[in-house]
Amino acid sequence: VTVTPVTSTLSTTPPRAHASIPEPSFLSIAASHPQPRAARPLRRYHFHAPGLVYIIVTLFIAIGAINSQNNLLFSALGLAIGGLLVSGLLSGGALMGLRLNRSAPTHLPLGQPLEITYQLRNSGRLVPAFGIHLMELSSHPELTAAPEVNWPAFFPPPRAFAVQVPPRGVADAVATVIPRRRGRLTFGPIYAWTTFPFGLVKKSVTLAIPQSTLIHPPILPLRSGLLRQLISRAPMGNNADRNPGMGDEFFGLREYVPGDSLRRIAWKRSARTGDLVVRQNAMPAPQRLWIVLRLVAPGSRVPAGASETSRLNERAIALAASLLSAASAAEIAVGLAIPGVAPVGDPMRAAAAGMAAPRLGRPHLERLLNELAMLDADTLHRGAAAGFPDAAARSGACAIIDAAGPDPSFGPPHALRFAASEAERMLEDSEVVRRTLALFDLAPALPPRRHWRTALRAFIRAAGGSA
Amino acid sequence: MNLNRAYQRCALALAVLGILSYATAARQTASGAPGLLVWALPALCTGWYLSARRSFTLPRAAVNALLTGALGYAILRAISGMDVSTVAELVIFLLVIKVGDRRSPRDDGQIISLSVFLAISAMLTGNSLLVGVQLMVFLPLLVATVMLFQLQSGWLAAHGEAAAPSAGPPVSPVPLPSPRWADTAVPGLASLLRRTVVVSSLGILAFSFLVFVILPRGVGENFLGPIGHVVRLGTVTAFTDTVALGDRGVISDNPEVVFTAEFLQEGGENIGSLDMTYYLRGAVLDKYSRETHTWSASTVNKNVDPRVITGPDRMPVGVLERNSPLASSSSTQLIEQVIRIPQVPNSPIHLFGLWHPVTIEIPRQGTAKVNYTDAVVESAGSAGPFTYRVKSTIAPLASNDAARRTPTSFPSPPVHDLAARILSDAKLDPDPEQRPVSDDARGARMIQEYLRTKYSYTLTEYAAPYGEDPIEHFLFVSKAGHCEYFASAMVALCRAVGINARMVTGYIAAEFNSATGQYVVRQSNAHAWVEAEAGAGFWQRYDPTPPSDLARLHRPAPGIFTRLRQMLDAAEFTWNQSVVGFDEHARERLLAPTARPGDALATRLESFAARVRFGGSRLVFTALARGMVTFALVAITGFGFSFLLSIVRKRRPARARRADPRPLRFYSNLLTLLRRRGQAKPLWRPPLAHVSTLSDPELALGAEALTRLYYRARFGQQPPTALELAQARAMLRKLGR
Repeated sequence: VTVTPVTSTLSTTPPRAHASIPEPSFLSIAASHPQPRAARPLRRYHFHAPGLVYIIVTLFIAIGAINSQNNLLFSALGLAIGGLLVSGLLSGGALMGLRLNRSAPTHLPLGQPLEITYQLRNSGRLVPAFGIHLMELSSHPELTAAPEVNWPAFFPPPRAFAVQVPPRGVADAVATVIPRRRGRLTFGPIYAWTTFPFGLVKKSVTLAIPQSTLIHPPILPLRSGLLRQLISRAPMGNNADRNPGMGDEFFGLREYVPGDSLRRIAWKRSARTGDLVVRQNAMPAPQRLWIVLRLVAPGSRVPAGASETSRLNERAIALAASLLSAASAAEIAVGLAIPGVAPVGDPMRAAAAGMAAPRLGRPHLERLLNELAMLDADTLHRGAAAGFPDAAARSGACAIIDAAGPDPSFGPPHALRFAASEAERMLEDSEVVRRTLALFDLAPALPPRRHWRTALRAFIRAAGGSA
Repeated sequence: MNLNRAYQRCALALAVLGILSYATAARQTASGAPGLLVWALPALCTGWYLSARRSFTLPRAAVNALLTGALGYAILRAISGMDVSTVAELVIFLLVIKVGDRRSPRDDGQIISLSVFLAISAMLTGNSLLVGVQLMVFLPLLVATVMLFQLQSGWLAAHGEAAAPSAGPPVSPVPLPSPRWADTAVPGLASLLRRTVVVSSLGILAFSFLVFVILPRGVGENFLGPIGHVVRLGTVTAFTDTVALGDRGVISDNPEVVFTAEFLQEGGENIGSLDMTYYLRGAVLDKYSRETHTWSASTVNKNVDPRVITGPDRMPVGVLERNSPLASSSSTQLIEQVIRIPQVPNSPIHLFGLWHPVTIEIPRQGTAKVNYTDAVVESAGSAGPFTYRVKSTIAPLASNDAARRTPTSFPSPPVHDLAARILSDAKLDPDPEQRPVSDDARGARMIQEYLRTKYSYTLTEYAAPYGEDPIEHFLFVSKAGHCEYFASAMVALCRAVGINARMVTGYIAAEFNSATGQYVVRQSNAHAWVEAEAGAGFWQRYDPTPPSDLARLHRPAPGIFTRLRQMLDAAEFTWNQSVVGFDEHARERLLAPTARPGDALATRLESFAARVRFGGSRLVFTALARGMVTFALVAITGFGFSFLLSIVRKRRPARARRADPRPLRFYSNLLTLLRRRGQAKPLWRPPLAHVSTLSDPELALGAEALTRLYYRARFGQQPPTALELAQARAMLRKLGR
């Protein structure tokens, strides 16, 4: 399974709805993502090795019984055949009334365990379902309409197990996995099977339930004092908002209304106009922090090969996400600029591409994290387009995270520069941080092993035959 | 329901039952069957305890060495003769070794498979009721074990027992929960699973019954030779056609049932009763070797007719008294004996019947050797349950030549003198030349009476000195012996005075089971007696063994145990009739399209009515009395069991108050730990207050954490999670160190 590169852009486009992400996302990829739809479940019986051995033993018993006319062997033969039939009936009956659903978080920071909860509902009145195995499939030859599925790039096949689902009851089975990379992970068909009661016959149900989860970059704890150091380097002034409030900066004048304090009356102006006018102060503006993320574009000169480029970019993105999260938690308005991000579609929005002005609030932070989650360094522009954004130089503190290493010529002098290779210097010295950063050193996940029948069909298809 | 605990119990019970059923089936043929129980069961239970409770597994080297030893033993056994017992013993070895080598679910699966193979071996080895009952228990146990095994292996495959994170990166940034199978408890599972086990078992039994009934019998029999034949072939029956005086001979105290016999008058009336005793003869021994002191059957001048029985159906094999008008006479009163042997080998066996047999019907294919001179039959055919019918006349047959006797003698002067004295005392001439043939029968009776009254019965062997004939030793020195000595002495005495006599071995049918209308013949009923000739071809039966001793030995003393044994015999008889002996005829009867459902019931009712009619009110009252006694026994047992159960239930809450429920066991363990370290918590002191008194800071910290967890679970209605319980156990282990 290959992960198709996705492009993203920072824009002010109204968010579009997505089934698995309830809050609006401004990511353009969301528009092209298919909506989940119910599909007809595929039910199959599989005969596997234990069943084959069982049948061979049953045949031997049959031969022994016929040859010897030993009635106990005849009854043993009856028991063996009865066992086979009861096995098929029980497992088939259990899965016949089984309804499946998947529940996964809409987003999650990288490094945190992802709990995929499978909700099983047994609509049968009599037959309980036991021993239900649940697996994610990357594809299924008979489910042609399945959307692009990319979870194998994130983690090895997750497995869950439900011990029982009583008749007319529900049960949850949880698979816990740890994603190895950020981005939008999409799920595809769910494969539920059971060999209960005797392990002779395997009965399966495959159901396509498309769903996705956005894996944010890891949110790691910063070293203490780092945020204070950043804010302290912000240029003085420009601390007022454009709205009236209770700050110290002058905002404007307005007519007196009963109830206004006499102390706020602008006497000179009132004397000049003849009407009582009161002074209004501006609302105190939050501290602002611009985070400029400078990634290594493809084709650029890098200290090492492509894997090193990717590793540095990922560390830079992780650092940016951690800074954004920590600053937002400290009531600092955070903005993000990523020089070189390609605009998508509308050329009129090119000027604003790759930038999000500092703002407060959780929705804003999540939008930024979503953007970082979907950021693809392979689509970065090189050359002039990758210059320092002017808006970031004008106000607030500025942190430049450079994947390739600090460049003093890039950005204003008051900006604080960080190199991705020295991320540990900015982050708390802890085992969690070390292990999370080590995720970027891992080799990409291998695609899961295919079922032999699937592989055979693929081979026949490739050879020009029909499977 | 703790799945692991339930699985461990079921799997252990399954393995134990597998060994038990095989040992039960093999208890007659395999000499090592009791030994199996002595070594295999303790080894199995110990191995299971160590592996399940202590997580102990044998080192690989030890496992390999044991496996090599077991294979070597099996190969040695196979060289001397390969049969089911060889394979079964190897399976038992493997089972015991495997129990000590349980590392993965695959090993557990192999243990279940080996137990199933043992059950199949038991079927191939024996088919007694006890084996059947054990296999009936085996089935639901197997169903439950396999279901629990499926759940266990599935759970472990998904969670990977403390290594779940095959689904995560090699080193996970945050610790993942690692639930343990041993702690897995699923509420509500027990009742559902129990119901499923019961329904599945019943379903399988129903299918089994259908297959059992529908499959035709007799098709393809022996097409592959002896494969699948039951090993327990009933070869050990205590009956012998060679009697060596001084050896054990026919003497046996084994209560194993050899066959059942039903005695019917013409018209089908059962003539069995508690007072009647029948002699079922099997072999005639007319040759005595004075060198080896052995009685055997001579083959000289015998009219033997070998026959091949080809028809699959029952067929008459001949009239023993070929020239006798009895064979075709309709006026002779005949007794029909229906002999049912649960299991016969495919080697020749002696067929038993009353003296004087007239016809015999053998329903199985094979060969028969009819000895018309001695009126005995040997039959060979396929192994399995075997039922045959013999018709005998109880009226003494007239001699063809009443004035002629067969010349005979016994070359022993003291025996001759004794015999002559006995006959002289009875005013009979000891000289056969002078004595009329018609007095031979009286002479034989006199000798029989002499032995019955002057000699005592004992099972203790008084070995004759080297060089001395055991018969003479019995007659003149020891004057005590068992039936073989009495019969030998009578034959010798008779022959010494010219009366032709021969020893007969067979069984005494003395134990009548009124519930089934059958005589139960056991190995311990093997007996030897005498037939003497009074006129050419006119043989009469004599038994010189004292009748009181005979009755004591062969007729069970009345009592509760006898009743119980009879009930078991009745059950065994039903089992043999309906399951072991189910054949094509029975199948056709069951599936006959014309048969109405009520026919069988009507037949039974008619039979019962006939028994009441013939048995009269005594039978009714006896049946009523037995029914009441049985009811009283069952009621007393039931009340006793309920009483015991109520005591147990009364005690259980008290125990439950003292001990914590299982999820809170860690707190009990903490209290035990504190007690061991000399800081036991007084009953009056609250748990946390007690923790504050602990001097050891490490102990205090750990104890506080555990106590708070206990508080939360006990009073906060928040049961600890599996992870917390695991942590609590780890902390207890740490504090214990």
